[in-house]
Amino acid sequence: MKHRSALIAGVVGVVAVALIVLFLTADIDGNPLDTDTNQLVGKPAPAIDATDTEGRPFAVSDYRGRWLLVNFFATWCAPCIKEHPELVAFSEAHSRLGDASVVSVAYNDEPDLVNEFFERNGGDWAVIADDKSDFSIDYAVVGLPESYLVDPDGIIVHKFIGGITKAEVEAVMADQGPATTTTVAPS
Amino acid sequence: MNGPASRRTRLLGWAGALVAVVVLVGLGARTTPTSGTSEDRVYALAGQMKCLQCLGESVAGSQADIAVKMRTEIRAQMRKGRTDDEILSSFADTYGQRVLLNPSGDGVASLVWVIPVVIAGLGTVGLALAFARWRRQRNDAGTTEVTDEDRALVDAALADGANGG
Amino acid sequence: MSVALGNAAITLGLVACIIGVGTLVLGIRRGDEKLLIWSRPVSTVALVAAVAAVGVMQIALLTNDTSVKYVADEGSKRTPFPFDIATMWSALEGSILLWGLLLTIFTAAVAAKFRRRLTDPLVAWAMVVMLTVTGFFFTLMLAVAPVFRSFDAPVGFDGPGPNPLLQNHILVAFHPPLLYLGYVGFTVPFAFAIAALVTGRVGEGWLAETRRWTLFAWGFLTAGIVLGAWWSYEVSGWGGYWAWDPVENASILPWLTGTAYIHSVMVQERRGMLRVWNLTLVVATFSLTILGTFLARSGVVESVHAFSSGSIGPTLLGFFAFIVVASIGLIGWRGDRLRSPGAIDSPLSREGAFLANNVLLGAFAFVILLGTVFPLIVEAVNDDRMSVGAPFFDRMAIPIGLVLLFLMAVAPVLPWRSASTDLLSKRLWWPLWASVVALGFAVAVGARGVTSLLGFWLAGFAAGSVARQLTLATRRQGWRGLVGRANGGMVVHLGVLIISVALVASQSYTKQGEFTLERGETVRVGGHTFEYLSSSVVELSNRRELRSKIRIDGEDVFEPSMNQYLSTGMSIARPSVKVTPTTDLYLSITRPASADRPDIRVRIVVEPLIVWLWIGGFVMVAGTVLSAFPGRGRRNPLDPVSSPIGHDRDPEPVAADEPEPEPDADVDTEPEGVPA
Repeated sequence: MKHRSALIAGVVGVVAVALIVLFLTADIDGNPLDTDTNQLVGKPAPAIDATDTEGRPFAVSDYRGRWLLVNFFATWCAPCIKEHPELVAFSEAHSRLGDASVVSVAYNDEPDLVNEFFERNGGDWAVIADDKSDFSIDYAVVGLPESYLVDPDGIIVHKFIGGITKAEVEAVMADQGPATTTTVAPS
Repeated sequence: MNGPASRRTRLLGWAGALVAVVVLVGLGARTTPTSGTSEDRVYALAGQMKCLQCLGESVAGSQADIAVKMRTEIRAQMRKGRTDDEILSSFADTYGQRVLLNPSGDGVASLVWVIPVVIAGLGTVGLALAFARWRRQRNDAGTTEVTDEDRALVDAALADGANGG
Repeated sequence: MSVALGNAAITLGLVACIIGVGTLVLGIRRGDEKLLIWSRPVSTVALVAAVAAVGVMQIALLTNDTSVKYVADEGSKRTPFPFDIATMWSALEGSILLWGLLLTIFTAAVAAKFRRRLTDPLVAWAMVVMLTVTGFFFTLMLAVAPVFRSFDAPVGFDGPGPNPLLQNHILVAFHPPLLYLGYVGFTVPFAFAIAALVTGRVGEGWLAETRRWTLFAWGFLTAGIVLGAWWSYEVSGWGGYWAWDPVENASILPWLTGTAYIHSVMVQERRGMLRVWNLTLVVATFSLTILGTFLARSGVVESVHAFSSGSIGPTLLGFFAFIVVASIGLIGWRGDRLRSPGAIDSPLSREGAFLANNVLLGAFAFVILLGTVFPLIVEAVNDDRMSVGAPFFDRMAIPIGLVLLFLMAVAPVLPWRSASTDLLSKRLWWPLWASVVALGFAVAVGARGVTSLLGFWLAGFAAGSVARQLTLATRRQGWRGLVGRANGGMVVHLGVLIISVALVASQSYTKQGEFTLERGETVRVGGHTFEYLSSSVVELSNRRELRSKIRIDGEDVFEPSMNQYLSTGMSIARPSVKVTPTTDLYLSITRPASADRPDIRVRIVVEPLIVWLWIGGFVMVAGTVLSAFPGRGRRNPLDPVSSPIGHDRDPEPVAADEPEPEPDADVDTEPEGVPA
C-alpha cells in the first residue's frame, strides 16, 4: 500500500480528535454526587418498620391513602438544618388538611442529639433516630439531605436531592397526584 | 547451561516437566467463595461496588459511612443465603448501575468488554498480514532468474579479468 | 515583594524561551550558525529563572509569607518540616512550577551534552521543541494558573496547611518529584523524534544518542509509580496499593509505551526495522504524559488524586491536541520515507518476541485508556452514568500479564533472525526445571488458585531465564556481566518478576476483617493474634493523634492512630504495619476510643509478600542504572551476529551436537562516538 503511513495516521488522528472532543464536552463542573442514578422512583417505597423517638411504632405501610415525605437528615448536616423550617411549615399545613405527613430518619446520629434538635427547632412528626436496620441503604441514600415523596398508593414518585422547600414538594404533589387539588394558603 | 544433547532425553524431559506443571496446577485449583458468610466473600463483593460518597474508591477500600453500611448490608444478605449476582443486583436496583464497578453485560456499557476483544482480533489479523508480507518480500528477493544476458555479462567480465583488466 | 520577584523570574524564563525559539528557527532557516549556538545561553537563562522562582516560593513557604496567595491557601505556620517544602507541590499551581523547573533542568542538560553540535539543524530543532514545551509551562505559571498572586493577609492569619492526606507520610516529599522527573524526562526523546521527522534525517544514530535519556526517564517513572503505590499502601487504611484510579492509570500509560519503546528500539538498532513504529511510541509516550497531567487537573474524571480544576483543563487539552495533531501529521507525511526494507523472518526470534511484547503492552495501554474514559463516552452517548473499576482492569490485566511473563521466560534465550524449537528446548531446559520447582514450592506452602499458580509457574520460568543469562554473562566477563544493556535488562526483569510474585500473592491470599475490640480483647486473623491494649491522646503542632496500642502475636506492640487535623477538622487514619519478609500485618483504626465509648473499631489486614513489591521496585531501578553503563565496547562488525539464513540452505543447523553460538546480547552495539 503506497501511502500506508498517511492512512494509519489518518485513522489514529480521527480517534485522537474524537477523544479530545469527548473531553471538551465532558461535564467538568458537575458535582458527580449530584447526578443521581437512583432507581427507586416509580417503585413501591421500601418498608420502614421501626420505633420513633416517642416510643411509638412506625411503618410506611400505615400511611396508605396519604402522601408521605420520607426525609433523611442528620443534626451535623448544615443543609438539613437549613431546610428544617420548610419541613415544619409543610407538616403544619398538611396535617391541618390531613393529606400529607413527614417522617424523618436520622443518618449516623445520636438519639439524644436528635431529640434536642427537634425540641429546639420544632417539628411534630415521627422521627426515627436509631438507624440500626440501615434504612438509608434500602432507600439508596448517597448524600444528605435526601427526601422521597411517596404517593397515597405507596409508590415513590420523586426523589429530592439536597434541601427542599414547601413549595417544591407541593408542586410535585400537584403534578403527580390524582384529583386531589390542594390549595394551600401561602404561609 | 544447555540441556541434554540427546534429542530424545530432552523431549522426554520436557514432556515430564509439563505434565508435572499440569498436575501441580490441577492440585492447587480452588475457587473464591461464592457462598457462605466469610469475610473474604464480603470484601470480594464489596470490591465490585463503588463507594458513591467517595471519589473513586470501592466499597471494600473506603471507610466512609456509606461504605461501612453497605458492607453491613452485604453481610446481612449473605446470611440470608443469597448468591453473588443477587446481592449485586439488589444494590444496582436501588442505587443504579453506577454502583457496579464491573460494567454489566447489556447496552452501551457492554462495549467496554467487546472492544478489547475486537482490537485483539484486529491485532492478530494485522500481525498475520505483516508476517505474510515479510515472507513474500523475502521470497521475491530470492527468486530472480539468471538470464542469458547476465551470463554474457559475467563471461565478458571474466575475460577482461583474465586479460589483466 | 515575593510575588513581584516570583513573577519577574517566571517572566524572564518565558521571555528566554520565546527568544530562544525565535532565534533558533531563524538560524535554521538561514543556516546561520551564530544564531544556532544561542540555544545554550537561552536554556541557561531559563534554568536560572526557574530556580529563582522555586527559590522564592520555597522561602515563602518556609517563612510562611502569607503575602503570597499560594502560601496563604496551602501553607500553615504549623506544618512541620519537611512537609512545608513538599507543600510546593501539594496543589495545582505549585505542581506546575515543579514541572517547569524540571523541564528547564533537562533543557539545559541537553544543551550541555550536545554543546559541540548545537549547529546541527537536527539538534537545533530538538532544542526548539524543548524550549517550546518549556515556554508553554512558563505561560501556565504566569497566566493560566498563576503561581504568584498577592494576598492581603489579615493580622494573625494562618493558612489551613496542605491537605492532611498530604501531610500524613514522608513519601509525599519523594513520589511527586520522582514521578515528574520521569514524565519530564520523556520530553527529550520526543524532542529528538520531532527533530528527526522535521529534518527528514531519521536513519541516523539519534536514537542511540538519546537511549540513556530515555532509560533515565523510564527509571524515574518506575520509581515514581512504585513509590506512589507504597505511599498509597501506607495511608489508604485498607492495605491496598493500586486502585485503578484514573490518575494512577494515567501514570502507567506512558510507562507501558515507554517499556514497549525500550524493547523495540533494539530491533531498530539491530535490523533497522520498525522505525516508524518507534517514532510513534516516543510521540505517544510524551503525549500520554501530557494527557495524564490533563486528567489529573481538569476535573473530567473522578479521582482522589485530582487537583482543583479551573481554566487549566482546556489549556492542557489544547496543548495535548496540538502535540498529537502535529506529531501525527509529521509521521503521516514522512512515514513512507522511513520504511525499511528489512523483514522479520520468523515469529520465533528475538525480533518476533519484541514485536509480541510491543503488541501486548500496546494492547494493555489501550485497554486501560479505554476503561478510564469509557464512563465519559457512555455519558456523552446516552446520558447514563456507569462505572468501570478494578474488576474490569483486573480481568484484562491477568491474561496479558501471564503472556508477558511467558515472553520474559522465552525471549532472552531467543537468537536474532530465527530459532528452532530444538534450540529453545535446549536453552530453556534449566529454566523449565526451575519453574517446576518454584511451582511445587508454591503448592507446598499452600498457594491455591489456577491463575495464581500459573503466575507463580511462569514467574519461576522467567526467573530461570534471567538466572541463565546472568550466569552465562558473569562466567564470561566477571563482574562486567552484570552491567550493560542486556545484563542490566535482565536485572530489571528480575525486579519485575519479584513484583509479579508479590502482586499475585497479595491479591489472592489476603485475609482481613473489621472488629470492635474492648480493652484486653483478642481477635485472630489469618493465623495471627491481635490484642487491643489501650488508647491515648497526643497533641502535636498541627494535629491531635488518637492512638491505640495493639499487641501482635503476644510480642510487638503497634500503635495505629486517627489523626484529627486542627485547621480543617479532617480526620485521617494513620495505619500501623508490622512488616516481615513473608507478611505485612496492617492495622487501621476506623473508630477511635472516646470518652463514652472505650472500645475501638479496627480493621486488620494480613497481606503476604507486600515488602517484596518495594524491593522489586528497587531492583528494577538498580537494573536501570546497571544497564546505563556501557558494555564491553564496540563489537567487531565482522563477528557473526546470528545464525545465517538462506533459501537453499537447511534452516536446521547441521551439527546438532555442537553448542549454538550464543546471541551476543551482552555486547553493547551502541556507537560511543559522535556521528558527524
